[in-house]
Amino acid sequence: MAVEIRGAPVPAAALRIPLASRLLGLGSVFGKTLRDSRSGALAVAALLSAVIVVGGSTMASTYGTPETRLELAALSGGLPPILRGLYGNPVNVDTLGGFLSWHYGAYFTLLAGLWSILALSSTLAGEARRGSLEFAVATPRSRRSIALEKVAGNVAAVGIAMAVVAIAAWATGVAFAKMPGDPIAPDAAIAFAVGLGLKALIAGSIAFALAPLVGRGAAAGIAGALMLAGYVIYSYRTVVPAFDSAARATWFSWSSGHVPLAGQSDWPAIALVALACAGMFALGVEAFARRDVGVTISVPTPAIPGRLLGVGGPLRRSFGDLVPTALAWGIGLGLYGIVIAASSRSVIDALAASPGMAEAVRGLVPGIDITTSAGFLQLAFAELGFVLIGLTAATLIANRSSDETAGRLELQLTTPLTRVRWVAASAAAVWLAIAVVATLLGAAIAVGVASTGQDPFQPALGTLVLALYGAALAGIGVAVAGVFGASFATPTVLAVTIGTFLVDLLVPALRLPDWVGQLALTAHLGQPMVGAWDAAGIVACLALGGLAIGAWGMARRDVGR
Amino acid sequence: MSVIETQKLTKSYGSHRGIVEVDLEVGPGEIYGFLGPNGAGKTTTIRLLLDLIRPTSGRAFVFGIETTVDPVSIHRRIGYLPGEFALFDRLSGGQTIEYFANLRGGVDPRYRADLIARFDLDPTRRFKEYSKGNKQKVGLVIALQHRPDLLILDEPTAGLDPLVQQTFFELLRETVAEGRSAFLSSHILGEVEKTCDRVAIIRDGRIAKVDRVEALRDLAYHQVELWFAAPVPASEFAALPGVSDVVATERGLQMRVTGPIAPVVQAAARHELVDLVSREPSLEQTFLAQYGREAVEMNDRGR
Repeated sequence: MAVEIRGAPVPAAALRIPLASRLLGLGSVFGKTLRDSRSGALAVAALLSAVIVVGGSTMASTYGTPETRLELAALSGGLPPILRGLYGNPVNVDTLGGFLSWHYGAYFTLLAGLWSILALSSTLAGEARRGSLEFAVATPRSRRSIALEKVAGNVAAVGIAMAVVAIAAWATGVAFAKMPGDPIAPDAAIAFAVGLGLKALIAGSIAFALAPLVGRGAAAGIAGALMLAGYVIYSYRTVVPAFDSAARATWFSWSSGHVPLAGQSDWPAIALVALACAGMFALGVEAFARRDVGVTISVPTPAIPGRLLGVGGPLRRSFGDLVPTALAWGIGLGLYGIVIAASSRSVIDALAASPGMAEAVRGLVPGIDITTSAGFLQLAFAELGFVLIGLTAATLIANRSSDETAGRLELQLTTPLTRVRWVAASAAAVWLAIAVVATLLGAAIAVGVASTGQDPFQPALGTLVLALYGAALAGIGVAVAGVFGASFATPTVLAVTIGTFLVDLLVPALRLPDWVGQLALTAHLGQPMVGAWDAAGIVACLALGGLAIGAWGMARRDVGR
Repeated sequence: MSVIETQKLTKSYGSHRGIVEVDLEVGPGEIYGFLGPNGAGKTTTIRLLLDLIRPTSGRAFVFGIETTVDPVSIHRRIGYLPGEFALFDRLSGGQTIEYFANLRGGVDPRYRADLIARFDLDPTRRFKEYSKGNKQKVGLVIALQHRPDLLILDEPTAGLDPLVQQTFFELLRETVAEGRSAFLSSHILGEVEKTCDRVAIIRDGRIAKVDRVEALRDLAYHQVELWFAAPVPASEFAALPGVSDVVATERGLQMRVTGPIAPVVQAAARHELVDLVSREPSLEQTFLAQYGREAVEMNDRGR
């Protein structure tokens, strides 16, 4: 016999969820997703806008005359393929928008893509891991509608960030236009932002599609690796012929003709990116709707040898926890390093064949002998290397901090292990992990340079300065964790990494006083790839100081959770 | 000498209350229950005893050592199980247990193996693959494997099935039989009633009551029902010592009797008594009556 069961009536007032709350708040899955994305969207919009404004200012001040514009056009057009790979394909670089696209286009795409990957890999899988997703799924909403609202929330967040970027691009044109062709029309700014947003979203959509299958971390890792590999393959396809066919499968290649700031749009290409993006989102939604919530496939990875996992004491245990992360960073950076180092041969050959070009490049980067592999690496690798090793340090410090935030530290500290010993052991483990990364990177660079027939010793040794920089950042993280708490450590290391990058970028562009430039740690590292070391001891002291401060702080404060 | 002693121990988190002037004393060989609802201050007290957090005022001593002065000497002699914990995802349960044994300079491997067997724990699986109950078993082995002089256990039976709970209580009894002590927090009264010698009840950060489990039961009232052949005046019983809440029905009386029941029986005997029912409450009912229903979470898991 059928039994009719009626639920208790819901008061009418409870059904009236304010529209504002549905759009940005706790009134809907969409609103909550957008609310959760606001700080990320704000940070990315601010960073990209800052780079656009600073880039525009640099263009206006450095290339403010017709003569300098002609020089710039000649220089960019005559660059050897490897440097084109670094900077991107030059389209109307003698205009403000063309210069911005040429010089900073790769940064824009990679930075926005990274944010999108992190956000979209965690939007469902991160919640599934925490367990909060089960509450949402247990409400009277279908899984598809939850997933679609999550996607819509993330797309809206990217849209808001890109709207800010479009305004910044248009305003930069207004503020810094010096020549005809410099002003950036609103439709061009919008077209640029749409293209950038879709390129970011396609990276994130891959992570979104994979996350229900393999979990958040693996999905983010695979999507990130695809994005970086796609960038490298596309950028160096002219140098490495084997890359050519694979490069055509990347969205970097599809959208290469869409450079609206330079007056060139390719809407069919952008539509293709959008279509691919929608396809990946659809796959992700279906995967989430059909699969068990929170159940993922184990991605087969080589097992870490039992001895490396370390149960002998706090140093070995902490290091054992960091080994997989260190190996992943070391192998990833090493692959990038080996490609750059090995391809330096083509630059050297091109410059040897064109003395005029060599002279022009020397003017562009004074103090570095670009005709050597070491000089090329100093130019092409060091700056990005500092950012990457900073991110490495941040992830390692995050792993260390999780001992306290996840509650593992509490159990360890109720054994006869002192707080100071834990601080020293776990910090040493981070430094050892950074040494592993630097060793792998150094070895890769040595192999790459050796393949060009040049002396690999100096560039490989120069790689050590990256380890020193990473150790210094880790030391800052240790100090902050000790004094203020573990949850502050990773954001601080990230802030110092990005802050240093911005100082390096802004000081010459805005002609800020020298002392501002000296605030950046990188100002004290010399040019190690070419053997010019500078006061490296300062950085070492900073790292050790971090340990002392961290131990002092940790001994005084409450252990958190 | 007390194993644990606190003197006006206070912890505040800015404007938020932690605990306020908590005085505790736990003797050797004692199982001491620490009862209270969620958020009452049980975990804060335990973390202060372990020097994981520092007191705002007051002092705490474990084995006569002030917790903030030499915590490592205390940690050598205690075994601790947090209420919530996460361990190393990549290690197996066995490796995790071994790591904590190593931090203590080694433990008796036979006793460790015995604990693993008694808890029916598969030590080869990775920690992240364990269920909540199996993670709890790993935590209990870590706390017990070095035969500590004092066990400090925060909600030790959370997530354990009834059979494993039995094993745990057996181990606890063995611990005390060897002259060691245990301090366990819980909000499950039945669990405390079965195992503890003394109980402290904490509510809103303050100690509301400390007594032996039996003495707490002495706080109990009897719910008495009397049935007579003819109506009886309620006022005759309401005036008796210890009697309250008298409710009269057509031929019956219901009342609450605190203390000796003899005066009620004597008064009832003066009438034609048909039936007498007296119910003695459980510790849980006592606790509810004494400290209010809001003070304790009803939790069927522990029963």
